[in-house]
Order: sequence, then C-alpha cells, then structure tokens
Amino acid sequence: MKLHAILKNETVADVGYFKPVKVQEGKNMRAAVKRMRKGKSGCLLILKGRKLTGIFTERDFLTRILLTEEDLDLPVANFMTPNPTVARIDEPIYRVLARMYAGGMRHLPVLGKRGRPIGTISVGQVAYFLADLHPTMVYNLPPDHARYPSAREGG
Amino acid sequence: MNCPFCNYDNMSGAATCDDCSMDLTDLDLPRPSSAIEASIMESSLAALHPKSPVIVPPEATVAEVIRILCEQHIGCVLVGSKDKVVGIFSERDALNRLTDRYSERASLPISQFMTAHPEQLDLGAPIAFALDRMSIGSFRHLPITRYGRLEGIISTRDILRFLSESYPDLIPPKS
Repeated sequence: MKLHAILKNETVADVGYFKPVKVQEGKNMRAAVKRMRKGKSGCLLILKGRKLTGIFTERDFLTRILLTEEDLDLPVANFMTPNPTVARIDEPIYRVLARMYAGGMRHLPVLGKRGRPIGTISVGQVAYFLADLHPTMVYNLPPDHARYPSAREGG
Repeated sequence: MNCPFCNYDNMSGAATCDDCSMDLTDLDLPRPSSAIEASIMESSLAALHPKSPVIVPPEATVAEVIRILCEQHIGCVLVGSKDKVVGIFSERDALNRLTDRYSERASLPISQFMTAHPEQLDLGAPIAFALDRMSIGSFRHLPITRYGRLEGIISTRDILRFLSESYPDLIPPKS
C-alpha cells in the first residue's frame, strides 16, 4: 500500500494512540505535573467529571509556569488551554495530521464514539507508525524479475 | 555505500561499517518500486531542510536557556559548539528536572540538567532511518551532522511539513 493511501484510509484507531494521562480540573498544578512525569506524557487532558474541558502541554508548562514562576498550588484550570482541538477515533489519519499542521500542535486528545476522551495522539506517534510500516513495505515488495536467471540453474 | 552514521565510504555490500562498525545490512534491502513509496524512505534528511540549531555553551544558566526556549519558540537547544555537541536540553527535560525547584536552580549551569551525548545522524541518512531512531528513542529532536560537523536539527514538526509537501492534497500547506 502506498503512503498516500495509508494516510487517507487508516484511522486513528488503526494508527494507535496513547492511553490518556488525565486529571480533574480542580487539582493543583503540582499534582498535574507529577501526573505528566509519571505518565511520561507531554500532554495532560483536563477533565470535569468525564468530560474533556482542556489540555495542558509541556510547552504550556514552560511558558505559563516556569517563565513566570507561577505558584504550583493553583488549580490546573487556571493554566490549561480550554476547548482544545480534538481527533475522533474513527477519523482518517490525514485529517488529524492536517489539523495538527495547520494549528502547530503536537498532540490532540482522542475522543471515542461517545465523545469521551480515550487517549492522545501525537505527531511522534504517527512517525512511529510510519517507521514501523516501512520494513513491511520493503519486505513485501515483489522480487525484481530482471535479476532472475532466464534458464534453470544447471539445466 | 556511505555509512548513515559517520558517512564513511564503505565497499558496497559490506555488513558493517569499516569505520564505526555500525550495522549496514538494512541498506542492502530491496528498493521500493514506486516513486511515492520511495519518497519518504529514500529521500535523505536533507529533504527535511534541517533548521540551524540554537547552541548554548555548557555554562549557560538554566534561566537563560528557558528564556531562549520561550522567546524563540523552539522545543530544545543544543549544548556545546558546532564542532562538539555535548548535550541537548528540551522542554521535556524542563518538566522532568526543574519543576518545583526552578527558583533555586535558575542560576545553575545547563550542563547539570541536559541530556548528555544525544544521538546524531548524518545528513545523507534516509528519512525512514530518522523516523526509526526517533520512535525507538522516543525523542522529538535529532541533531544532524555533515562530515562529523553539526549541520542542523530536525524535529517531528519537520516530518509533518515534509508529509504536507509530499501530499498537499491530504495535508494542505500552511497559508
């Protein structure tokens, strides 16, 4: 399958996504950062109950917390990006990439069929998928018939 | 056949690089037939137009580096010089190593918090090779060298731009 067809036909579910690293919006920044470090994620989903209300990324940590030396005891809701752009699980991957490219985002929260946040997808994740795909593409190529001997060996 | 790591010109078919003993067997795999498949696998990293990296000396302070990352809208800086990169410091390192002790660490040298000896690739290496290195090491940035000298840096963002340039019908170019 050609890369073009892969980008066009494979969905978020096919490519795969990370388990969400999430926190309730009332929690303080200290707990949120702890969660990001432990979950080894560059992107934290902020929830109110089971509904996604915002996102907080490594970049936000740098620009909104470290640079201004904010108090880590304040709630995460004060620093998050509300109403984030999202990816749906059954959406083709090229649309997700197009949205990331247009918005300059590295991560998008993935919403399940019922609109609940079920994971995050990143550019790195897609790169991983493409890298993983590449040996299969190579190994599955048809043999080069020009290289075959025209007569049976020894015959 | 040039080694993607050190660019040493090996005999074609060599299993390992004579210079750095890097495994070269992958480079002898069958080549794809279609132009589109070939594009991402075979184009060299030069097609990503590696940006010139921001380099800071090892004694630069944490506060200086954080300011550079924020003001220049970049995700990482290289530590050292063009001839010798000794480390890399990224947003992730800031989150992992600075968090709540920022004020006491702001005036310390960045060399105490950087990731030492980052992996580097030669500009002539195929893009697929970089994707693979980045996904295995799960890092976002890869310093690119040419004849052992630092040439630039690539990030996952450059890969996205490359995909957009290759398939503008799917991923529209930025206006």
